[in-house]
Amino acid sequence: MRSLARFVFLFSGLFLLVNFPAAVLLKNMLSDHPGYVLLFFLIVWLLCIYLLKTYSGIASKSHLPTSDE
Amino acid sequence: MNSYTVLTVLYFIFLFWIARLATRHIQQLYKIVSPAHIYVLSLAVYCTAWTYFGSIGNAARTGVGFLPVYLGPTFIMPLAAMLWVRMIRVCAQQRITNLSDLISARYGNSISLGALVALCYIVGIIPYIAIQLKAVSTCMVFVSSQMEHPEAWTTSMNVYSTMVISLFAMIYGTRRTDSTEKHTGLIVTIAFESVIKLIAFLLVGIWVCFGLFSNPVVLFDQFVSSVHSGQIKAFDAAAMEPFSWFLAILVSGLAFITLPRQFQVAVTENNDEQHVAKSIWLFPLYLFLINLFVLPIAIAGRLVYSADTDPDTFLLLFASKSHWGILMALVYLGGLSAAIGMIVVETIALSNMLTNSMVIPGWVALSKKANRLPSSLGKGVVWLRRAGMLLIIMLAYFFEHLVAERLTISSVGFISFVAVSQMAPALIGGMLWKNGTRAAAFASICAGFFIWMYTLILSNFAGWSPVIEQVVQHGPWGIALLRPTNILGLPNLDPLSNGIFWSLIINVLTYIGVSLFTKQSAEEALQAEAFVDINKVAVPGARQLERRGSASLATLRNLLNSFLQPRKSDQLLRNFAQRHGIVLEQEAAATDPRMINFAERVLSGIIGAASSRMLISSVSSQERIAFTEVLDVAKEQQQVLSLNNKLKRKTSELKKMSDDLKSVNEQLKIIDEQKDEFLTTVTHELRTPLTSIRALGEVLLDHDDVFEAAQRKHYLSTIVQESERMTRLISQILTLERFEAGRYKLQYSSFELRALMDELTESIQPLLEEKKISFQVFMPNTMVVLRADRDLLWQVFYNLLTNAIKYAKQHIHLHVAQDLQSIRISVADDGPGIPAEQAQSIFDKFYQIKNKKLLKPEGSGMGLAISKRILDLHEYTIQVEANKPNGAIFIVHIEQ
Repeated sequence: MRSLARFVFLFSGLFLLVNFPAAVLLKNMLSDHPGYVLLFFLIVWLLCIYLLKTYSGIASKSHLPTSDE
Repeated sequence: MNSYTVLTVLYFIFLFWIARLATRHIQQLYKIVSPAHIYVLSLAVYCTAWTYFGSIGNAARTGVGFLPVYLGPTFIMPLAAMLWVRMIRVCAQQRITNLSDLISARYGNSISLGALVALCYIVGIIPYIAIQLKAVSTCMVFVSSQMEHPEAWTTSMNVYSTMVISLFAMIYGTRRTDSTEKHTGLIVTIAFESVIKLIAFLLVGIWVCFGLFSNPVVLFDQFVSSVHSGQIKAFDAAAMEPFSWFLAILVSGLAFITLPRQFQVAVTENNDEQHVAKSIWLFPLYLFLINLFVLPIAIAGRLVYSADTDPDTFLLLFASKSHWGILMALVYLGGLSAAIGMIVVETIALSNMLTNSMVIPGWVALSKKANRLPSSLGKGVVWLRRAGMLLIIMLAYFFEHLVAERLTISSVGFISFVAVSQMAPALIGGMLWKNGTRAAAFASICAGFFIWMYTLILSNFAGWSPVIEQVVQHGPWGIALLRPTNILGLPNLDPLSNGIFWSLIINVLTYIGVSLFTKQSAEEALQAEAFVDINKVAVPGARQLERRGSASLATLRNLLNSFLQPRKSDQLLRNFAQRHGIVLEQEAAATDPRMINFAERVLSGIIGAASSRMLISSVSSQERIAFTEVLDVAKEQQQVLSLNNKLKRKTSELKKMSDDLKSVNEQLKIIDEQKDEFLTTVTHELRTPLTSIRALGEVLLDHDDVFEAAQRKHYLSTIVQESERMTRLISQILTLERFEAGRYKLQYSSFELRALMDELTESIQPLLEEKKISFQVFMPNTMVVLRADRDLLWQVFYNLLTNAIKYAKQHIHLHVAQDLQSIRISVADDGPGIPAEQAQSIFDKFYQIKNKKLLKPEGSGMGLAISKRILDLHEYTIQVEANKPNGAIFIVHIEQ
């Protein structure tokens, strides 16, 4: 349960980071430093994938048997 | 025929071959590629020509404006996976195969709702399919323009390719009457196409970044300097307005859940729920890889090609520029794959909706109106679906020719995404919230779809009529606040974001609001319970609420025979009856109600839930279920669930207690065994000298006069030695017992280590001389002071050194090393050494005695055990290591 809570917290943080502050700050950098802007998103994306990999482990553990038809 | 015509034909043949091969030999294929990976790759049907060509076009205009389409699914993946698992279970239980059926079933098998959902999907997605056909034709026209002698085929080739795509979908997308059957061949082909498009994209990206330009840094620097010098225009950063950016991510995430093709591959074609867990991170990784080079390719395109070049064709242009035929062929096939995969899966899903939610219900309703059983359709259902596919592809084809010419891939893609997102509140709400009502689902979809058309579609038809022009420019009745492109005049909202925001907000509010003010029918409540509590419905002991009615076995058999072969119907009915212990009585007598429910589920897989419900109700006399009864059963289920949880908790507590007891019992057993072993060893050790003493004593007593003085003295000295040995052993055992019982109090004092070592050297000198062994002590130059029980520590090192003397051949070294935190004292010999596996057990009591095979000098085997206990009491550690090339090193660590 703690792993799930930690995942939700970090994932939400990345979601917010990708959305508002990033969009506000990075749109001004876009034409002058497109490489850095792209790099920022790629790094955040990789972090998301890493967290999702952790979550997939949690999801597998909480695997429930299929209901009996 | 030129090479690309041949390539296109061969590729289509190859796709057919893969589908056929996979259908026949899937188990062999699973040995090469795991089904989980095939599942993940099939999810990549999300990446269409929009990704392949449109993303680069978007990136060329907006920089990173293409990213929300892929960040959306990444962020929504945990929710999507959770919903998919629920949907997979519901669909397996109720034999549902498409989204309109699912939504219709959730809200009490509503035929009108199913038809509305199917209609909205068809209207929203046909333009999207059209744009994929446009991508196929763009691809072919481009290839033709690169040839020295363009052939006439390019003008008609897209007609042929559309026909081949339709044929492929019709053959591999609808093979059997029962649509719950998995389309293995199709899914493997989609997975293969996903690999092709990813490889092609990555190869062009690598060539552009490291071949055309020396590295990505040079590429980006060149772009920035060109923007600064005014040679090329800067990016339009409007897409990165925070709210627009957020809305684009949201709508992409919602569309990822509500797109029919995603539902088809993620839910309908799923073989194992565990594949969903795997896809949670592997699918976002695929998205990451396919988008890695989008911006570099777009930037390179703007640097290399003129401003009037269509950026959607940059990928093809670069592949052509590389002059590598194989890369060009791969990019061409990747483009075809991206479009074909989407068209095929989307068409199959839409055709299922069209037939299950619109055509068959209409046909059943007509039969019902005529008060007769529907005439036998049999294989006709398959042909109906195939005709549906053809119709959808043809509609898309005409749309492409009429309208899509003027639209870009990404604009149409986004508009379609917004359309399918209108299903999200009814779908997600229906899966997670029991109180969502049919009226709310109906109203919210209508409201959302109306706003979608008003805000995003109407402006495209402004030129068609002055009235529309007037509404678009000044709002209806001249009310500017209702202008479709900027409702209420919200600032910083582009027309697309305006459409997303208003359609979704009104949709969600309508769904919640209407749900709160309307009541569910008993049937709806029943289905809501079954959907939302899908993980709980199988609670043992809970009464399950099922529809009841009466129908004869013959009627059910006749009904099933309308869609299945009589042999198959009979087999299904008999198997079910056998599994559930139902005795099949006379054909004309009323059968068990469970048989009626089973027949309904079988029919659901063929004609959809709503039609199946309608058919069953037309042949059976239904007993109405009172709403209060639904509530009673729900309450009962909750009580059973709660009781079950309590029992689970109690069982888990009892299990923990039982485990603890088991563990304590195991420890006691070990202690008991150790005690027995100890007593046996001690008895043996005491009896050996006692036997010797007794024998020699008896000899001396009986034959005192026979022995000479010298021999008598020798016997007596042996008796004394054996007595000393016994005394020593008893003393050691008592010492050890005091240590272990914790009754020994350490006498701490501070002393200099060198003095202790000098004393030890002196004590062992006779033994060293006796065995002719050299002994060297290496001490640091500084003074080493210890605070410990000096006598006990003397005992430890005495034991270690005498032990080393017993085994050493020539040398013994004693090293003392000190740093700020610790002192390390090691005693090394050049004897036979200690095998690594016995490194721990040598500190056990009577180690030497217990290991009879050991070539050992004389000793009780208590010395090391006592040393270990003394060091433990001081909280020091001891370990033994191998001494190179031979021998053993005992190392004592003293933390300061």
